Amino acid sequence: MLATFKHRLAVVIILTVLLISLFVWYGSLKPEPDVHRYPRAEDLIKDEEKYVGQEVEVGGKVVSTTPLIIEIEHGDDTRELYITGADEEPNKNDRVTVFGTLEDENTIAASEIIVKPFINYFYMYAVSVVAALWILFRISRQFRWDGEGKIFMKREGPDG
Amino acid sequence: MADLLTHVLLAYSLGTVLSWRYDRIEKHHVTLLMIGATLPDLTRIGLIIDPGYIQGLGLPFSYFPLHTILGSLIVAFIITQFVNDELAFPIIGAGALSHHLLDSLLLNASGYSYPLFWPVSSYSPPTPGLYLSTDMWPALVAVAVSLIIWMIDRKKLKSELTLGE
Repeated sequence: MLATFKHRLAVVIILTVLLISLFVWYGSLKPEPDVHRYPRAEDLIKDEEKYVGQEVEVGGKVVSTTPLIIEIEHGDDTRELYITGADEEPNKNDRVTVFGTLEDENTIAASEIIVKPFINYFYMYAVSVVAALWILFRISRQFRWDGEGKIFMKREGPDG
Repeated sequence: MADLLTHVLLAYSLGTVLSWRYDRIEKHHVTLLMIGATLPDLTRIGLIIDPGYIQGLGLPFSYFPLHTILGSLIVAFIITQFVNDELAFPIIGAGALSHHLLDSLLLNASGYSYPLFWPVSSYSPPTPGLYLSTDMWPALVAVAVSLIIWMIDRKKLKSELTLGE
């Protein structure tokens, strides 16, 4: 830990800039199947023609079960894709991740499909909130904010 | 990513067991380990600020680096600047690494995990596919393990207090 608040603030600013640079760098990377970075939803939404015949990995929401159609999204843009050859039978509104070959602009021939039922998604977010509240509770019991040093200090006592 | 509760419970268990072995590790360090275990999932910020909107401004953008070892260690170091404890960075960092360990076991459609070493390497290790992030059983196992550890910890604390009297 650095001695003064100014020094610590400088470290925080430098690291935040570094982190944002990494966000931009990674965002600029193109799909690279050789290292298993397959085209994803955002790539297909931007330019699906480019990836016809290639292996893709996309996640989306099931909007129709017969035929199986999923909706992929990126920002405000959405697209619907037909999935063929799926060995799973998801329900409407389930989330799925599909790995397969983009046969044409609107169809993926699935070689693997993972179904995440809607209720399990709800469960995942609910227990994650419980986890966050548990941590906040422990922080409030075990740490105190030192306004002068602008730093969290261990709270003395049985919980510290 | 496994659900956050599983990650936090694993960190709690790990931290508590380490506190039995090493006197320097106290209760608040267990909390720091739990905080570290949440850091890679800061990518969830994308649910609030969709990266697609930022890309709409003409800037290539992805939150994924937060879910790499380097990215989570950078965030751990940023948090360390606001915690007056010399063990803060190694402990928060260890929590983040425990998250990556659990997530590298997740089932993935392509059969490969994620490039956790990026930008040093783009390699995505193959995953054994033990569970899904939405599966309920990992959290149930983690709750059971954590409860046992919590009970042992309480017992140890009581016996230490009795010895001290």
